Amino acid sequence: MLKRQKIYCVVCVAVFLLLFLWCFHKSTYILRYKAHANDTVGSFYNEKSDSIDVVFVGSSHAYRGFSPMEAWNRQGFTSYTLATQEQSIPVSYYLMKEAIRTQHPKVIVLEVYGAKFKADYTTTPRVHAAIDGIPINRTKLEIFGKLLPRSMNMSEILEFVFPIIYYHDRWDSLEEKDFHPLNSCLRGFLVSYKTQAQEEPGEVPTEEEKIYEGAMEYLEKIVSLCRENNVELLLCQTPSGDYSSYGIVRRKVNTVKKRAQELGVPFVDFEQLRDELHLDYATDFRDHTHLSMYGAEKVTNYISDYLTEHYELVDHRGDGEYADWEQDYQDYLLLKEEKRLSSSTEVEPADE
Amino acid sequence: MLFNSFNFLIFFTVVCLAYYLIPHRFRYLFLLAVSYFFYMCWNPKYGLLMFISTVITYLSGILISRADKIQQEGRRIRWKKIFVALSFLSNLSILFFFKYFNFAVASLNRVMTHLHMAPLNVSFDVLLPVGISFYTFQALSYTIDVYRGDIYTERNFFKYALFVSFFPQLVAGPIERSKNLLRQISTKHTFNLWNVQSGLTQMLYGYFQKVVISDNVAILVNKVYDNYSSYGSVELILATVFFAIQIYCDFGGYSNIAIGAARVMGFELMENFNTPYFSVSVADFWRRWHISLSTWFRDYLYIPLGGNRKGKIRKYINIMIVFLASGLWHGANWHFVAWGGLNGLYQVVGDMLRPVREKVNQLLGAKKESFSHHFLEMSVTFILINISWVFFRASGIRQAFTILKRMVTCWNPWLLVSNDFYKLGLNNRQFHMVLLAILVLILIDIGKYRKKDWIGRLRKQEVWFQWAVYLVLLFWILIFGSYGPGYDASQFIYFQF
Repeated sequence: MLKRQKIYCVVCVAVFLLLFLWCFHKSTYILRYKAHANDTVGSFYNEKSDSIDVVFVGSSHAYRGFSPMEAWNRQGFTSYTLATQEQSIPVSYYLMKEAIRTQHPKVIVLEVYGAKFKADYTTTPRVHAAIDGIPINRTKLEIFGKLLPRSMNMSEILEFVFPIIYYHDRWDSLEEKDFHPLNSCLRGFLVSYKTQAQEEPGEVPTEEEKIYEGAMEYLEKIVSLCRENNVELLLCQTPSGDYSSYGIVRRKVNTVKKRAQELGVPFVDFEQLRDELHLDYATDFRDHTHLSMYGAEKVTNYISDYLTEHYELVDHRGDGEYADWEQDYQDYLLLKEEKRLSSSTEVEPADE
Repeated sequence: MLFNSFNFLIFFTVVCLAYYLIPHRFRYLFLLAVSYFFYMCWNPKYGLLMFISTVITYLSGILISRADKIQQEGRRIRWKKIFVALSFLSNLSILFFFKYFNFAVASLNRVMTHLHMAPLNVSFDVLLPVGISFYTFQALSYTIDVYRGDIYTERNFFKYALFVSFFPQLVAGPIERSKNLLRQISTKHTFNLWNVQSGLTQMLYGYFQKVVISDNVAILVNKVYDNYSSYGSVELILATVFFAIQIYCDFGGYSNIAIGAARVMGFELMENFNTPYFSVSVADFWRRWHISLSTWFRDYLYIPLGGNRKGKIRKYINIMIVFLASGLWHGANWHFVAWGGLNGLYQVVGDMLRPVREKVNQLLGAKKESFSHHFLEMSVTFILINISWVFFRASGIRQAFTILKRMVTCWNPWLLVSNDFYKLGLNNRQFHMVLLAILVLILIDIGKYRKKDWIGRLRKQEVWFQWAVYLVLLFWILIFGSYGPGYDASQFIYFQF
């Protein structure tokens, strides 16, 4: 073969591969399950770098409790709720790593419901929803190495490396929102006007129950990660409406709370702040553990005031550079209104 | 290691890269090692079994060539025949034991119960070794070819062992002939870009057939056939036509992957499927369907039995023997035998009725060269073949008859215009996607039927067009293919045979 032909061949193959990778990347994105239509984790990377002041991390309790747009309206700092269903503490740790790498926020708030889980790896769909939005980078490789169970076989690992394998069957149920992210103004929060009246629970249990070793280990890793990077860490637990089935979680949270005190990490215990929040058990919950929109507004307002009071957060309202946040807030209000009007008819999925 | 598994993709990539990097004189040893590795991934014990078959046939080759040197003609022929017989007996005994023993005992017991005799209580819990029918036949063809003097005696044991175990076609064919493959093992294969490109394209098309078409239509076929008593004519006919497509794409796809994989490494394997559903008669179908097996039966069973040289009656008997044996080869069950028998019967009856057909054609003034005449022949053949597929797919002969009866008696054409049509395992989006894929299959087969090989024609097109075709195929497989979790990588149908 002539030298020129050889070069031509190599160039052809290279261009083809690039084209293939581009298509591969695009189709993976389209087919990937976008958690609650928001693609919470994937959309996080669309935020301008170093533009987010506060990141809320945790399970469904976090995305039902903390609304970045309410916080913006209340105190003018920017935030993002990087929460996914059944997010274990180890998964939160890796998401925090990514949050620090891309945004270096001033404060990270961790909702500690994840202490409930008995393993790093909760269930395959949940772990997929949490990590598939992370691009292939060092953190993701670390997740593959440390979070995925050793017993996992090759094809299951490949499903994490190339999520298209896991999701391609979704092709026959794709919708418009799969092709471009909708509701980005929500920034990880979920609006729900569904309510379910709860009986006012009794005393908050004070006993402690051991948490899974891995969770404790990762909790300590989270503390050092934030300290090394000069990021303030705040732990909290959103309120719940029922202790009869929820008591065990609270006992585990007590263990976390105690450990936080030992490590000198502040803890906002919303369970103890029921009166300050003026919680209304008739409307503030959507089920026995998750807050409704009404409850979320109260909790977000409280934590926004707390954050502004305790940390040096800048009020960006009126700052031209943050004009898009102002616009997003207007969109958010419209969306809220729309959701409120349709709340009586909509059927929503259950949370964890 | 199935062809449609990620392990195979990794294995194949590594093997190909290493193959072209190591010096030529070691390549056959390398291929032998990886072929055994490939085979032993199923079960290491299988490797031993294949090794035994290899040793027996290898020795038979050497002994036959020794016997060939005997001066006295009578003794020479006698010894050669003894060695061939020994090779056949030992290989077929292994095959019989692993594949047919339990079936034979069960069948015998049924007869004995009818005769009010105590049934035999022997059964062996043996797992059918993957591809045993394929490599046994391939190894046996070598014994006969040496006997007939069609091939030289291979003295290098490792080269011969590679001929039996060559991984692309080891577990599901094409069943190669020593004349073709053994010679290529000693040939030097230099890297050739077109070989790699066309080989990969053929593999890609094979995957398309298997993962996009076969595995998707299988969902509907399984649903209907597993519960045939609750479906009417339309569903059963549709499921049967889909099964015809499923088995063609499954087996044809597998052959394409095997042929493509071999070509990437510079080997040319024989064609195994040549647009079978465009056949104009059942005999024509068998010249186009699983060619490597039909020609095996032709060369090593039909012709030794006397073929068509000993009069009509003997010819018909020979055809029936070949097709009953072919049925049995496909599986140790009576419904496979019935399937084979029916295909034999079609040909015998077809041959007997030939004068009648010609008379009718003459009377009606049939335009025998016209498209419509061919189309009629193709349609009739397709229907006949589909009737035989019912016996192949059903779990037993009785079930097959029930299904055929329901096809005629439970007429429900209104289903065609109702949405219930999409409740047969494929929703409307999936159904339309599958139909589109089948359309591609038909177009490619039409091209092939007109002797226009699409891969060769693709080469003559602009580069951008070639890429577009590759990308469409790749992403069709990636997105619409049936693979990944929630999908039980349904084994290639033919592995069991």
